[in-house]
Amino acid sequence: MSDEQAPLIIGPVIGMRAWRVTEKNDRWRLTGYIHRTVWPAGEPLVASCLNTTLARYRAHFAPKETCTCGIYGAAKITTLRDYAQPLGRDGWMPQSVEMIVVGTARLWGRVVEHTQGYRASHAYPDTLIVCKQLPNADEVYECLADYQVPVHFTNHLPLAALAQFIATYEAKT
Amino acid sequence: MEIGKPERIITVEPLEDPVPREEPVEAPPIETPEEEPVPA
Repeated sequence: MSDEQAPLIIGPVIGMRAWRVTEKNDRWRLTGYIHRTVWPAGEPLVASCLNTTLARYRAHFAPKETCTCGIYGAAKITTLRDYAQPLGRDGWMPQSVEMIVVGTARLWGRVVEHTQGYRASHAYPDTLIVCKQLPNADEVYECLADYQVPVHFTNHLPLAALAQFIATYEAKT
Repeated sequence: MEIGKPERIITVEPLEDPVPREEPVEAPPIETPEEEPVPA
């Protein structure tokens, strides 16, 4: 399907995500879970194709329907269980300077709609959930305020916290 | 992240700016010294 035929949707679309965090200029910032692209505060993240297996084809506008590029968002929370595996047998995650933040992201621009989620050309955090027990949680929570979106600080494990947030959100709408 | 099979391409146009922008800091009002009374 060409862009000319793409239906216009008034957005943004909301997708569920998990992020890692990394320190940049002494401030914790969100990064992609796989490619570690830093999500800037105060400006949108714009996708580019980082596909390493199709390097010679990646000079295209992201996301391309036939590629895997773009900024991902899941339509269902169960999709994020892929990221629960590193939490270990007891459901906790290893001590690390990186940690998982979960939440929702605003997705817009060119969007490839999948059966269980989206790949978008533009994205910005919508709501972030930081778990109090995780390494550097206090600092991360304070720094994520730079994104100027709601940041929740919770005692729950990431996916349980996100499930609770989604349930509350859906009950309101 | 496994998000299933691609179904269609859509163009998503936000009604409002999805990125919160910092409010521009207003410059403080310029204080003008009170005029001294003109001696009679």
